[in-house]
Amino acid sequence: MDEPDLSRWIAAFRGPLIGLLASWRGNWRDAEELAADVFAEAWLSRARFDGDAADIERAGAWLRGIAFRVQAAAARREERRAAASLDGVEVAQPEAEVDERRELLDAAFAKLAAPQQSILRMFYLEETSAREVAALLDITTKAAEERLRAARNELRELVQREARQRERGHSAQGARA
Amino acid sequence: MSEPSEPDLQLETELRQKLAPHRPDPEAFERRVRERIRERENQPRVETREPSRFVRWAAAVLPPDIGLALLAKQGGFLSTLALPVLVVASGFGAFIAGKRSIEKSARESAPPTAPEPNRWKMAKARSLQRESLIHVLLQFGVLLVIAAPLLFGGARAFDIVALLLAASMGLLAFEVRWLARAGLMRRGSVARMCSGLLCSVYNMCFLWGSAFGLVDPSSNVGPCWSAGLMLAAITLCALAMWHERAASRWNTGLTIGWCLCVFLALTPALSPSSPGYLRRYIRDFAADTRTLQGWRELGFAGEALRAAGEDLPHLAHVRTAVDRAIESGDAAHPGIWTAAARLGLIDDAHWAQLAQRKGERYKLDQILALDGPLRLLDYDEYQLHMLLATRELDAAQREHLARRVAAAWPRTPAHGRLETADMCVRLWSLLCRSDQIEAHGPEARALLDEHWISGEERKLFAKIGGFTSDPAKFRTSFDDTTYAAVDLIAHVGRSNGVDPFLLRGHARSQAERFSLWIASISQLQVSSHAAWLRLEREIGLPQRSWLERVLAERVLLATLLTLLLCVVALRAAPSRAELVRRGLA
Repeated sequence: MDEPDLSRWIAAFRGPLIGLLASWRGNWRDAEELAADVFAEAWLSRARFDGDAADIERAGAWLRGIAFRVQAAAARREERRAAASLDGVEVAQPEAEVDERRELLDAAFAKLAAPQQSILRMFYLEETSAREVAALLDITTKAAEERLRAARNELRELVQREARQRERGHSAQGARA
Repeated sequence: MSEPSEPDLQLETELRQKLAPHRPDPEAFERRVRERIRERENQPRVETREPSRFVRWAAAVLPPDIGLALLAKQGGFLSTLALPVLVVASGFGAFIAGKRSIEKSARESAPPTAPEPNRWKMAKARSLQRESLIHVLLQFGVLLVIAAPLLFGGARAFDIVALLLAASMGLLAFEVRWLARAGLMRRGSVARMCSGLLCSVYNMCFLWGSAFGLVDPSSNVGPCWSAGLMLAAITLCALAMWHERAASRWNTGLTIGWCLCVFLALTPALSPSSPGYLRRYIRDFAADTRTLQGWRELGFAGEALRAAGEDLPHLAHVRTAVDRAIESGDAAHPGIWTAAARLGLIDDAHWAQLAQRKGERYKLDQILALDGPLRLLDYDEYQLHMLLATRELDAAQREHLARRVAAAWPRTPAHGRLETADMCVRLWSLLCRSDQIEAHGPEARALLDEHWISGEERKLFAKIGGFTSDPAKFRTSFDDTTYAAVDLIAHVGRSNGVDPFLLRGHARSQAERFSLWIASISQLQVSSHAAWLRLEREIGLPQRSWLERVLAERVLLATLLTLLLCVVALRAAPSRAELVRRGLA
């Protein structure tokens, strides 16, 4: 493994790894810091990686193992500190204008199951292919695609349901008024 | 991946916009990584104990699963790697040695002569004696297959099957050698001998294995393909016997009939996990709200199809039955409401109507008013669906409910802890409390490990590869507990102690355990089919390299090699037409 390999790994796995760590940690900022730690650790212990650096599956499995360790160590360090919730951080982000559609999406996203939130974060944080996500999750590319599809369908349904509920709420308010 | 539709594209764009604030600057990120590398390169590193050079080399060149297993248990090199390789190697070794032996037998066989009645009679009698002896020997193989889980652990039973197949190749070569020496090496005799041998091997390896619930721990295709191929080969041998006039039409018909019956009755479906079975179950479900039969499984089937991203079949008949039961005030079993809720069949108006009933209203009031652990049985899940659909809960009430669910989390040893944990996770999921699910993830994974029936379980008749409801009392897997465990894995992830391939093997063997004879009670298979589908499509299985995949199919390989050796033996023996041409028939 040499310098260009590290750059390639960072380019390929940065998005999904931060997405994965964000799901584990519940905090985007920590996730980004930890992801940087993971890549640094991968480089420093590269002597133990005997496979082909161009092999995405091997690289993904290797990074996932390091991510587990780094995350566990960070969790131990911060055992007493309550981690800020993901939703809190997301709300705290400066938003130019939060339209109704975005609110619906946020509400629906929060209702998704944790693994579905996780896979959506991994895919959509950056432009990532299913292969890298699958390698990090240690599943087949097909399974990753299936998960993504299911998560997207669920999210779409939740958005629609949320919209219907709000519509009903508005009409009830209107009727009361 | 298929092209996303228009609404998908809009959703994708919105998701990207939503996550945009968290997207790192690529250059700054890489700069930060390199800074950290520089900082840490100057710090002394705490060296952990390294595996031996050999183990590290082996872990690097071998597939990831095997490599990681090697690194994890350095002492277990033989058990991790050597046995599968040895089993495959012994299959190929037996085939090559058998083929050479058969070819040599064909070359050195006594020259065929015109059959003399007395000589033929004696030779045939001796041949039958010898074959009988071999079949008696093979019966000891049956005992070995049955006792394998007790002697070596359940996961090794199919290695024994593969080794027995290799041994049967040796017996085939030995029989051919004897026929050749006796001058009886004719295609008809060889076909009869192959047919008898394959029947015994089928009974020994597959029929008894299936009867005793052996689980193939690694195969992708499952043992049914091997069993089906074996039956097809027996049928072909029977046809060859008839063609060579070594068996009467009746005998041939009986053999083929036996194969067909066994195939239809005892050899399960040859398809991989597919949503078709579940879809059919839902479509054909007789929605009778006066009986609970099949409703729970209906919920499992619907849940699995949705989790796998499949469309549900038309559910109007079920919806109508449920709506009618609510409207008419029928006192249906709560399991029916729960199944309907899981399938999303009850709309808000009907929930409201159901919640108007005195008993239901009381239950909802109690859920909100009481403080202790919220212990809902699995068929009472509908109460939370109903609560959320009919009452506007504020944040404090939702928090109160989440706390009540947390208080119900199974911490003390008891029967059904895994199911309780799954119920808690389901309730949190309904309350949109993924933080609680994540917080309880480590405990849930520890529970999964505790209830897992591993392949090392050394017990006769124990079903390995699934989950038990009470690890202290029952060391065997149960279907419903296994489904609950799969649901739990889908929420909190798989624990390290659970072998996903063995779990898949278990779900498959349970899904295929009944056949045509008792297809009418098909709901017994639904939870296993649902667990199988969710495991493959929702949770996903780790990737395997080509070497791992080859090693995983060692039983199929050994079966194919055995059948190939039969073909070699048949081709090496002169056919009747050839003998007729030479005037020796």
